[in-house]
Amino acid sequence: MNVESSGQFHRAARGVLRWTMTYTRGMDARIAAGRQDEIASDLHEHAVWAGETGIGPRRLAWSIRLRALRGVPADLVWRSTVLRQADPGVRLALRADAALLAVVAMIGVVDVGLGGFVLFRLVRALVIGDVRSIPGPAVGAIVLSLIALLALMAIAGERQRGWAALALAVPTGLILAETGRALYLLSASAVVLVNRLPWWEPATYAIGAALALVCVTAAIHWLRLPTRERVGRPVTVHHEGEPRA
Amino acid sequence: MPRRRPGVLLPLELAILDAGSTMQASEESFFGFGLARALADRDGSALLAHGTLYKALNRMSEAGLLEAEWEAAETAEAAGRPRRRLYRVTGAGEAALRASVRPATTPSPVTRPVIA
Repeated sequence: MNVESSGQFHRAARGVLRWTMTYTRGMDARIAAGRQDEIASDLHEHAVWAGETGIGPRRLAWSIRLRALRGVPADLVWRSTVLRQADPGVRLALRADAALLAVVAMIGVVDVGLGGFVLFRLVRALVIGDVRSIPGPAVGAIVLSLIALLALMAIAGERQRGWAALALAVPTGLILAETGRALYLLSASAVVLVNRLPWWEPATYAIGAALALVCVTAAIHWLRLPTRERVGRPVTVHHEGEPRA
Repeated sequence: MPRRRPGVLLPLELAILDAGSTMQASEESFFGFGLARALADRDGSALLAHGTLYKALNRMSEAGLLEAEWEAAETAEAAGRPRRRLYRVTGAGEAALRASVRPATTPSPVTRPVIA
């Protein structure tokens, strides 16, 4: 079997190229294209060499992935070096974009964590016989966390990031209150806490609304402009050789 | 992490200059994967990681130790493969390699075995 046309090689190569696209994001188009072309050439040459030396598709794919993985720290250092030489405005825009992404991702992780906790408490309560039927708020919290999980996964892709952040706003706005109601039915500690804090429900709605607003703001930011325009002028390094077609 | 002194080459950079000079002597230039293969054959090690290899090549090009040029699209098309980025060791690269090899090959009186 020809290793170059094997599915295993193509999957590994696609993964490496996707990673290359990720760490060259926001850079000058010439620098980014230069690195992407060079990696594409490397992958092709690697496959041709593997075919000539009798290396199978599985071992080739493994070797390609390992080379990419071992090179991740160097890729990140290279990216940081290129960006350091960039315009301060571009650097600031890229940092702000990354910070916004980190905040939204963190909100998503919290949403998923809350749903996971409710699921754990529900299973435990059912096993030890604390509840005989599944309480509605528990189902609500788990469903909301599943929506958050899907949105969180979609946020990883740049193209759908804006819509994903918008979708994340829905569970984020509701899950805190729903989790509180679910735990009230599943946990003795939650009952004590809720009885001591009569304002807990408005507070959870307020916090949920604030976090949902962050998601909506991020969504508007990501939907309004594509990455290149978001980060302003492209990063330029004069010494970098450009691809000559 | 200590900063590297300017003008001091890393072992990887020396290896690239050495292997690159050898490849250049027979093929005029060399390219990333060919170099990775040559280094792996020479040292009996695994192929260099993508990030490590291309970061070093980029840094050495910026330092003027190598010159890089993209292969003509027609040549790559005729061969049915993506374009290669072709590297050549510059005069400065050859001088840096010679300078780094010289002290190692000259035996030091301190390290010479003493015959009683």
